[in-house]
Amino acid sequence: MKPGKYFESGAWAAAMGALASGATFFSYYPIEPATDIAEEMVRYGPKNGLLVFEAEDEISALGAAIGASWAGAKAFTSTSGPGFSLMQEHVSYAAMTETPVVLINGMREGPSTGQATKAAQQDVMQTKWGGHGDYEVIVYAPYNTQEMFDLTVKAFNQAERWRVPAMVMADKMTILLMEEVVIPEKVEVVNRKRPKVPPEQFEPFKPEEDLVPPMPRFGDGYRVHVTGVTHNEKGVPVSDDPWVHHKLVKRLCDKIRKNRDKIVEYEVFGDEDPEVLIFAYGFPARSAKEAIKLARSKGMKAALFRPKTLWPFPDKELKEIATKAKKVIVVEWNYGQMLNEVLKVVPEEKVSFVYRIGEIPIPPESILEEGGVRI
Amino acid sequence: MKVDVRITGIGGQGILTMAKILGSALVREGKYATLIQNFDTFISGGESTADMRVSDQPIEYPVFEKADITVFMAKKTYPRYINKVKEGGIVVINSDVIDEEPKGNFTVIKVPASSIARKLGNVRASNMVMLGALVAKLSLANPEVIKELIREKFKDKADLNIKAFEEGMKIGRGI
Amino acid sequence: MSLEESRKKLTQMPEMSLARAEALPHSLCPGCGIGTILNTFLRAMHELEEEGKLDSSKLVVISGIGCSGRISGFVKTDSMHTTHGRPVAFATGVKLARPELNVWAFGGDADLFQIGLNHTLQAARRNIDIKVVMVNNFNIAMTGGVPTVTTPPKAITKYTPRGWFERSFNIPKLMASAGATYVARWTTAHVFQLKQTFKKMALRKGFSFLEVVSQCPVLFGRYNKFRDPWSMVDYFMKMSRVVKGPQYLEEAAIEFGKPILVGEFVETEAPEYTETIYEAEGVVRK
Repeated sequence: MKPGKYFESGAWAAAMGALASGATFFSYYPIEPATDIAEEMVRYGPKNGLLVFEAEDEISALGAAIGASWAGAKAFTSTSGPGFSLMQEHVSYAAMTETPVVLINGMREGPSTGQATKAAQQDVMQTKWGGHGDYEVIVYAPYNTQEMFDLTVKAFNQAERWRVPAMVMADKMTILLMEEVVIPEKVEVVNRKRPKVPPEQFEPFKPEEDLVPPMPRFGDGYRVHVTGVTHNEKGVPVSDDPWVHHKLVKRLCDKIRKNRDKIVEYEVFGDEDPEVLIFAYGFPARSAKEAIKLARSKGMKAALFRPKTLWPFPDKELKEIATKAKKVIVVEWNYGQMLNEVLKVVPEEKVSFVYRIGEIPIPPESILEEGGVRI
Repeated sequence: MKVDVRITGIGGQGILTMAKILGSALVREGKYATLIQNFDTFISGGESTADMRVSDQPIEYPVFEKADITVFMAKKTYPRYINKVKEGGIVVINSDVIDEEPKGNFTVIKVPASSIARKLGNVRASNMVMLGALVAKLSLANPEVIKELIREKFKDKADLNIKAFEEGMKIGRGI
Repeated sequence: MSLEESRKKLTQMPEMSLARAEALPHSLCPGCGIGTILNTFLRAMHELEEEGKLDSSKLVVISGIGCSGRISGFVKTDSMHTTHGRPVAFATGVKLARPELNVWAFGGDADLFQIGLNHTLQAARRNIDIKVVMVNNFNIAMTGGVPTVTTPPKAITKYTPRGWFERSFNIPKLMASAGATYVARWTTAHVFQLKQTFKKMALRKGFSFLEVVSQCPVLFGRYNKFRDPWSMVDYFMKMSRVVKGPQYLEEAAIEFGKPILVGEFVETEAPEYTETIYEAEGVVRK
């Protein structure tokens, strides 16, 4: 797509972000509201070098994307709640095999089928805890159409950079909402590290200083063995020595934990020393931002803390600003998910929780009122 | 300046096309617009509504309940949204399909959009007639830029649609 | 012989050029039929490479979970040991992303026909150029000998002490009806035919399916009156009837005491999926 300013949907912006990142493989199984992204990929993908594969289910969709990634593609898939649940075994597999892959999730109401065409923020904990085992993923929460583009690009870049699954947790509203989106002249694109030595000297899971091993491509002569079984640095399965497992899983987590400062992103909008702090992400953050404007227009010191990365979670940064505030209002479209992360760093007596379990608008005035702020 | 516009009707009437042209025209001129689509399902003939907030300032919160200007394209959604018109607001109806007489503290503009479009050669262009009437009441939008976008969107069918738009403008302006 | 010596010996055998020596010791039981399958597969690929018909650096061997799932680990090619039931899904992604690769998916009976049946059938329907090899040892061995979709009626396992009460799949017929353009079955008693079939599949375009009837002496054979591995292989040999053609599909189900039909059931042509999707969708290859 030509650089410039467009009036388009979040689905379109995410599709453009994927193409700008150099995505070459997209797999999906239809599910509302993520099918809008598939529709854009079908429209714009092939002529831009991207193959679209409609899989038989979400298990296959992510499995195929992981396979494609090892064959050298920048691969991604899109889904929503129920499909995301089906994908979890392969999220865990991608983490263990250090496969760069991107998932875009259009969150809808759950549990189960819920209300299929209504937005919610019900899968944010599942992004981190959905699969089995200890692992780290990188998760973005876009709040407008521009971020659907920008954070999709970042998800691809971070997946490639750290060799982890990266996710864009949109919701039905951010996928369907149309507004201004700017496609920049130049997009920074990160590609995975390739082996620097010939095959006979190469050890496929031997990390470099940043804890990330270079990744060969299938068919290039490296004869790499990829396995979800605990493996040593040569890639040979090791089933009997728990210390090999300990060391491997620790590294898989540490490559994100130790580099969290490079990955964490958030926005603070408003006063640096707020009396009232609102914590919100994704679509509800739009109302929260308006609430901050409203409060400040009445002379109150107020700020919005909006994590752009849900994982790694910007806990230090939140703690710092929350310490100054007398009151912290957490806003979510669920019955308390990221709330628990906030409570880890903010004393409970400061926190009030304003929520709707699903796509019920929370107007700016309601956030302040229900949060106990009088203006 | 902030105006809340609602366009409502049924699937297949080109409501999204109208909204996209309007939104694109606004952002092209450095103004702001948000569009929330509400539709029942993907069933053709199901209810379809576009809620647009337009402004000369960046928009954070795009959700509203009552609209400043409501465009009614079909009978089906009329009862639901006629009660969600702001006091002193504007109601634009396609008078060829809605025979009700809107009553309330608002201005009513009746546009025989279907018959105008049919006369021009294609009844499907009635959405552009309605868009014309809407734009006439929306000072933020520049009609010339709208025409530019209609040309880009409809290519060889642009002339008819531009004509339809202009006819709608005339009615909106009360000419 | 020490482990190091075994590894060294393996690397010195030219016909085992594609064995992954560092993966020794292997994790299979003594007498397991998978050894025969691996052996014939490695020889077949080696021969093709010697004949100049195959570049093993373009070979990708993918497997699922279970005893047969371990196969990918013993092959010195790009290889992928995936999740239970999903090797074909991963293989589909590999093939679509890089069509010049020669992609194989190995799995067991439960892997490919119980938990992962959907993917196997869908790949056959699409006629994607993936070579699928199913090792049928009549049980889910790695978890202790649990019955599965190919366990013959009345068979005794640790989990069916009173005899298996479900019906089993007629695998060749199932694959044929899903649209597989190549369907063959051999047993571990047919080493020559196995090698030839592997070679044929490697060079064939389109979805190829091979079922290998294999012995699991430890968790299946000994519960069913097969005293040792050999008696089971001997049984396969004695009961096998070589056939050719789809007219035999109806009788291809395996039951105790009945002939085991082996050979090529289906060999036909259809447009290959990878080529079709690139062309039909107009994908510009970067």
